[in-house]
Amino acid sequence: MLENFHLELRAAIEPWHVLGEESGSQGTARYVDSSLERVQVKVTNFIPERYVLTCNSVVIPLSPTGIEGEFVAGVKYKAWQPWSALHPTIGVDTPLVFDVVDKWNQRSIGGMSYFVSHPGGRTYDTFPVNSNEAEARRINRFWDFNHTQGEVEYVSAALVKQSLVDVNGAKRAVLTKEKIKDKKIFHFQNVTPSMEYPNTLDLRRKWAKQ
Amino acid sequence: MALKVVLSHKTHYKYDKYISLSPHVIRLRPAPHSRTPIDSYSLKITPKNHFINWQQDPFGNYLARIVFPEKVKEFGIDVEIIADLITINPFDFFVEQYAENYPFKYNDELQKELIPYLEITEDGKKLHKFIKTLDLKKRPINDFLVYLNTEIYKHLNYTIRLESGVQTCEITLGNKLGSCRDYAWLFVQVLRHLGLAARFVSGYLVQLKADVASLDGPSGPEEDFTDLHAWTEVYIPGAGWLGLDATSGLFAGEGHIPLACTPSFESAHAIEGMSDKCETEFEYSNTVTRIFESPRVTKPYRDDQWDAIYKLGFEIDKELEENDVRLSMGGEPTFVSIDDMESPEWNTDADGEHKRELADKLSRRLVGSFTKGGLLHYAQGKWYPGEPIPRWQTSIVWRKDRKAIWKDPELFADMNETYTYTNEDAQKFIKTLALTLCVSDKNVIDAYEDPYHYIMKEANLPLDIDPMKADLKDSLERKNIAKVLSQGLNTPIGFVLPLNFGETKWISSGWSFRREHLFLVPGDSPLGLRLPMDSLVQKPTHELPLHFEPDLFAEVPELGKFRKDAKKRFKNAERFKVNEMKDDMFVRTALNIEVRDGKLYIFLPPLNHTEAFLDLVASIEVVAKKLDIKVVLEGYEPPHDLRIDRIKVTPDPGVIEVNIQPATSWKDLSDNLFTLYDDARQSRLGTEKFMLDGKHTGTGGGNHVTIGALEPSDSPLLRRPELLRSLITFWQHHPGLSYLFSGAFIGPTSQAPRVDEGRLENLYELEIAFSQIPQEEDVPFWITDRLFRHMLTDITGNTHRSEFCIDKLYSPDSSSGRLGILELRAFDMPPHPRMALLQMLLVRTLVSAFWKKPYKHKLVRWGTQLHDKFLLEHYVKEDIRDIVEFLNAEGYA
Repeated sequence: MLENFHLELRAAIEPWHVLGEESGSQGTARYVDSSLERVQVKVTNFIPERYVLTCNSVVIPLSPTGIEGEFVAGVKYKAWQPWSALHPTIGVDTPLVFDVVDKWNQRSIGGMSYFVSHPGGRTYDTFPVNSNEAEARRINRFWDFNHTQGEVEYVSAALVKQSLVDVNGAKRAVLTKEKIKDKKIFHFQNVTPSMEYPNTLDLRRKWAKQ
Repeated sequence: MALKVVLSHKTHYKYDKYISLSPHVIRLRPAPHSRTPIDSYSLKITPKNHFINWQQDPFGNYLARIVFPEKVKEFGIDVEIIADLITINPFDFFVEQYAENYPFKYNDELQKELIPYLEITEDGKKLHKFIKTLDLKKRPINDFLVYLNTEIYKHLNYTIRLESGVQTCEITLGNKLGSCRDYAWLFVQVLRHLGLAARFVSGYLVQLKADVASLDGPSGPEEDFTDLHAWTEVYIPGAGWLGLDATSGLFAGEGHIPLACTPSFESAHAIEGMSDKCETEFEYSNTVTRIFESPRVTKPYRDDQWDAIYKLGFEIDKELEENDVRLSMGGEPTFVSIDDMESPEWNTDADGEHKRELADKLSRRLVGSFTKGGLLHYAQGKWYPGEPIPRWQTSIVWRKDRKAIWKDPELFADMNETYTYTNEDAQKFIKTLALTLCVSDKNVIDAYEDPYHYIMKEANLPLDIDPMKADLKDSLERKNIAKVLSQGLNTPIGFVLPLNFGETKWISSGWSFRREHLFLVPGDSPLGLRLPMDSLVQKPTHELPLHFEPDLFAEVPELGKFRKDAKKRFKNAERFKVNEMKDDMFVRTALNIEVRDGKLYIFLPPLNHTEAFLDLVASIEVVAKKLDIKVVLEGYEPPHDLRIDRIKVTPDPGVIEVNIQPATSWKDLSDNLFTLYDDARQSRLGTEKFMLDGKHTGTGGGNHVTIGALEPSDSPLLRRPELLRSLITFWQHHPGLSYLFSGAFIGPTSQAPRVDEGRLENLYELEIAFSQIPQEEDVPFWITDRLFRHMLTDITGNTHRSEFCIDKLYSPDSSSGRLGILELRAFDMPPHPRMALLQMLLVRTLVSAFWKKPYKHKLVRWGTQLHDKFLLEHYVKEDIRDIVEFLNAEGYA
């Protein structure tokens, strides 16, 4: 719950398609592309004129559900970087940080974070032994806080340059804008809506070379 | 999963007269460090005329200070807490490096801050003696804490003490008896003696009744339960305060809600204050009520919801019967080990030791629960490319007329037991069996491994390899060579009785070979699969003509009785020793007996007459009983026959698959599934699987739903191809049906792609095929298969990989492919049988609806919307709501 509206995050299905054939020591193999994941975000009592919902600094295209003030969208993102997957030049885009940006007051008024692995750095080498451990793992990976800080500035796509930065050994996407050096400012951007997948924000598309 | 509860704790004092109360301090509000989320809190004090101030004590605990300006005759404290019992992993922390092992020293700063929590106030002899019994060797701090917690738990006996206050450690240890307060305080002092900072916790304990009784160990409380409780917290750098509950020997989890945590128990009292002298009546109660439970895999529906579902099942039954649909449904549920989440055999591989063991346990249970006098049979399963040997398959076979095939299940050897049968036993068995079948026991021949092959193999081994030895890492072939060489090439490995069934009797014939002996084809398959068929006489004088696979569409008489006859023949065999019978015809099939690993395996020949099969099995049982030998039946299964039913247990990648027999009525269907799920659980096979990140997934093997009829000619799909059209169209219109039940593995290259998840022109072609379905005229059985066969495939043309699979509908290839069955493959394994049944009921209802009124519409070109919208919960839910409205409008409410 944030102000009056309610944000909800759910797992969605992401098809793991079979990749092209690769030959290995034991004959040929066709891996599946397990690098992608998808979530659904739903918001109720939302005022689109005033607020913008962003995920990792990209505006989420919200589709109305037919209920006044209720919107839904899918967010598709690269969660892992296996050696064989589509688009090797695109890095992982996690954790997902969702922000509700108040355009009138120029701030993110709150948000939530979704991690694909333990935020404290615990590596899960083994599968959960039972449903309790599985549930505890799921609970660990979600925080109903940790919005992006700073004053808000909308950055039109043309001004944004993405670069890969090494953060603790993992490649992260970072937005840089030549003109503004002040880190206190929260920049967010739009990616051009997809004609084929209008209900899904595909975070990989923010990596498009310009 | 969410489960919210209301804890209600009421304490009431009634005094015999008006008295004055000193200011009271109440410590009944969850402490700030409670990990269990507290949604709401409320404290009501009676009488109304009081002042209340909230404050925090030096340790951060919340205190309510109550002042009564007037004399009172009663004093009531009502606490209500709404808590969200999410699962908390008590071990979710990283310990600072210096504290990873016990013993460690706190750093100077911490040492100073923790002074009150290190104060030793009890120093008695018994306490010292107890500490001396503890094993204080260096070890990881977690293990050490678990150890201490368990030691105290084991050392003491629990009692409920109504008197107030906490016992000294000496008393507790002396009596080996205490309440939770005494346990907690003893533990605090023990920890401090060991140099660890500890504090006393007073709090609420909530324990909920588990949905499913535990297979091992205690199942927890019979009813939901809450009470004031006390436990201990220890400070571990990196982890913070860790709750340890020595009363139960567990770490504190979501059910432990701390109220006050203090260095000494005196300052943790829930209610503290004084009153004038008087007579007091005291009442208290603790209750816990579940107020919100999201559906979960162990309890997907509330009982009233399930009752409604169950009842609807019978109404659909009635409608199906009225309209003469003759529908039967089966399924292929899959199970995984509940103990082993890691091994390849439970994730990717088809075969595995543990899997064989559990499959066998399950099969034996199924014989007991599904059959009376059923047969347990081990056959060779499918052989998939890339796998070294064919898979196995266990069948549980019984007669539909419920007469016994095999009377005494004790005569089946237990695959998980060891036996010490020898070649002598095998020889005696096969000779007695031959005589019991009224064929000559002279025809029994010894089977040998082919020495030439193994001598060559041995000669080709590298110099530095001992041919008699092989270890686990070696290939199957190497192991086999070592095995064969070490058992010697001149001992027979089994015995062969050439055998087949003529029109009226068993027929055997002598087999002779150019090399004099019978040398087996090299390998490690059962003997029966390695017979040198190419070396048999090509053109004998009289040969038994070949039988054909029985036609499932033909009429057959009822099955007779076989045991009595077999017994009689056994007796005759003993009396007359008929072993000189003439062979009148040459046969090319054989029954084989072989001892492997001390177990006696009987390899059944292929038989096309069910009667002959049953007679043979009855004879084997008679011999087994008389010779007191436990046997394993393997080889060829009984022929497909509508008079017998079977369940097959087979390995599939990562899972065990159970092909459950089709059932017509809702009652049978539900009984079967409940029994199967329960038997599986008792065999330690479960339905829950998780990904590394904790996401719940299906077993990975699916739960394909099959629809057809008990007799292929009755199949509603063969009788009305329109039904298939309706189902395909409806599923195509409602992608929610595909993705709600599918689990995560979907799309064109999955196991069950939708008709619109493949070739672009598929929908266009399907519509043409729909237009070719005969209307108002006789429908030949073959037409459904021919019309749809090439469209119900994946993009490569694989007919098995399709949401709607008609491989077993009316395949021209074999009789066993003409079963009139449609397989719906986009169902993943539901974790609970009630979920599986609801899915089945949905299919039944749609079949019934479309039988009455075919669903004929143009197909929808979803395009990219399919994966843009319908992979999101919102759109799937909308879609399912639409289906519900459709069914309501059709009269199913």
